[in-house]
Amino acid sequence: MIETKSLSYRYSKRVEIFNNLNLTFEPGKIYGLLGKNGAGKSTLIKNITGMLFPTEGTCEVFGKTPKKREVSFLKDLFFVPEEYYLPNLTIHELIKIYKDFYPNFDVNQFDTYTKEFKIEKSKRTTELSLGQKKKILIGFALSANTRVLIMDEPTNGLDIPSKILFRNMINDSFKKNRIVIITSHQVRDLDELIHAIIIMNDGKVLLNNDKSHIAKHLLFQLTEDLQNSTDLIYQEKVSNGFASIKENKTEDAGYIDIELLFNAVLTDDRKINTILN
Amino acid sequence: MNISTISLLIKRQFKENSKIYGIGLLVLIALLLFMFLIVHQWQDSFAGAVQNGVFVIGLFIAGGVFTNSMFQEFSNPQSGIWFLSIPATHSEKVITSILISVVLFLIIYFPTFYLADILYLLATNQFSLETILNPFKDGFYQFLFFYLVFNGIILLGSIIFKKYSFIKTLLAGILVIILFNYANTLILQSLIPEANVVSTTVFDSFLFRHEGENITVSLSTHSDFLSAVFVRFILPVAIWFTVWLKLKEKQI
Repeated sequence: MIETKSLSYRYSKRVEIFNNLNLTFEPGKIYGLLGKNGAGKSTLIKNITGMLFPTEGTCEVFGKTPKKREVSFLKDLFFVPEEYYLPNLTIHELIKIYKDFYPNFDVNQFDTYTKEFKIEKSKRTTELSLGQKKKILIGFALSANTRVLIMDEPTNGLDIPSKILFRNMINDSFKKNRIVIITSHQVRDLDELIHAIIIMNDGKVLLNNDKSHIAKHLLFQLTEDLQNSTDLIYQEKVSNGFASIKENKTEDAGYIDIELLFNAVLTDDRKINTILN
Repeated sequence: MNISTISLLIKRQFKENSKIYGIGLLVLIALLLFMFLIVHQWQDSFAGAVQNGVFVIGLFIAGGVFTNSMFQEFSNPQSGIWFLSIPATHSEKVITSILISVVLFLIIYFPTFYLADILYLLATNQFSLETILNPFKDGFYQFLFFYLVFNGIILLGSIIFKKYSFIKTLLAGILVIILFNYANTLILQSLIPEANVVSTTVFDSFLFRHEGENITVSLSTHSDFLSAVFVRFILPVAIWFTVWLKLKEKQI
């Protein structure tokens, strides 16, 4: 479990990124951490991965304190940053050297990915395109089989087929004891992949719920005409009509339009949270 | 501390930098030969132990550049995150960098220097077993202890400074030495106001002028021994410990 208690982070006395953040990430779930650029997502995950230290409060990952960067913590967490780095090695050398740092690294799993990516293992990382590099890094991250996998904007730089491949890879490698956190400002990329949604804005968590819970309580509709119903929570014009959110008063769980939910929460999170909580 | 993790880290460092280290070795041979050529060309201006001079200059230039590359990952945030995320303790990472930049570097530097030295002696028809540099003559090997301090300072700088760490560390180091020397002279001047202090060497001696004569005051044998132990062993270990502390505190 990942738990932050009263977590605050300030770059300086004047620049506060977030304050008093309380969050829990449970195993067996893929979390979509959504927010606009500058919402505080990257800073939060850097606090969880031990790259930045909290100004106040605590953060624990399976009982370990990230800022200590203990070996047992690092062996069990893989972080794919938005702007990533791969050492100047052939892919074969990369695996040969780095697999031994991760006790659960599965070479066969990685080989399957390289075949799917159609990337030769004899190639140097410097010879790969940005998208190919990212695929290799994501493949490595999944093959490391760490209990915690954190990816910051993983779909940036991937073409459409690669985004589909990425979703399949995450789904196929997902295990019950794993926590996966994926941040993105391209909310549609995470559709059908994530189990829980966390929406952040200006360093605050505006929404934190399981998708199943959201689908049970909110009704997403697409109509040709503008609606004037009193039970309307949020409505916006889309290319093929009007998309809206209402309270779901039926027993059936419908679909979730994450982009619409995201816009609704940023417009007025209280309305949504009143129904969800 | 895990030996197999340290050997993995060493393997990683060499695999990732094998090309640049190979080129660096050729540059080192060229640099040493160039320095020998210069001192031979202007031998009248370089009277004395030219081999010792070339050895020391080569050691500090090559050793400084090489040591600075130990934490080169911190020159940009992406590679810095990669390095900090490698599952090894901070102490294993620091010890690996010391092993490579001190032990392995010296193992390579000595034969490289002697290769250049022998080539120089052969080319100038001076070759004999006596003319080859003897590092144990007149306590010349003591320079190696200063290399340990220098190594610690460069490692520290490469963690503290993000960009141009080698240049910034050298400038900071020179500034500290000047300040130390200035402070040392000030303290001596206040302790012995009647003495006209000419020059001072921290932890060693000072020279003052009295009635037209230059008088050197050195530490007593006991204090000299303590000072030697401090400068040669305690100081480098203390700096390496600071490197470990800075690495622990490193945030990206």
